[in-house]
Amino acid sequence: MTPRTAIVAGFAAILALAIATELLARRPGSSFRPLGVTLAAALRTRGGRIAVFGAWLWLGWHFLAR
Amino acid sequence: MGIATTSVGDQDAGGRGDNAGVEPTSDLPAGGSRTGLGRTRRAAIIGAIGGYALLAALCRPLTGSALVAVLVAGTPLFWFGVRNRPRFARPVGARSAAVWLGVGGVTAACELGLWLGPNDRTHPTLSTLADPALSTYPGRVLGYLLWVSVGAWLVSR
Repeated sequence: MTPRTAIVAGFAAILALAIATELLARRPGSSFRPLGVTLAAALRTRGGRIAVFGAWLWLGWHFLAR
Repeated sequence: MGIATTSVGDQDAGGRGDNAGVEPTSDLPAGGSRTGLGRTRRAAIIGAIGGYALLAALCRPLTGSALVAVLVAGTPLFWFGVRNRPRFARPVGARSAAVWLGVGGVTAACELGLWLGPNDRTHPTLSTLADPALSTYPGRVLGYLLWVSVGAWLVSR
């Protein structure tokens, strides 16, 4: 396995983990909440808003402009 | 944004029901249907996002114009988002925060590690892997649509 293949497989595994986590969070009685609800909760504090919007802005720059 | 399914009687004092992930109806009239003004506003926002994506995607990556295109939408949304407290957010437990911080942390560590490290064709970052798609106009339209829609959704909380 080449390093490139391993890295692509790693990112695919992370994506699968995120999807599985979201599906688990949406099950009734789950002990944790879906990503959207958690992100919205993070916006309740000023520090959380700076972190979330800062990450969003960095993602836009990183993928679309850099 | 989204379809509200709770009735007014289901809401608590804060105007929110218990149904996780379902938006509250506090911005809706008692009858439950959106007003004409609400629909117009929603259509205007969707149109603005679409128009922005179509125009911004004209800028190729790694150019100054692409940076301007990101900042034109990113700066005001960042400003409004940081200044305003969300209307539709309820607290979640530490477990939720830990789970999603874990997933985000692993992703960020891999991306930043590769980006600050080799970052070549053999050791690509996520953004390097996305480059073939983002080098086409339709791919960039989709990328800008996704990015600015997430920003608008965050600001609308």
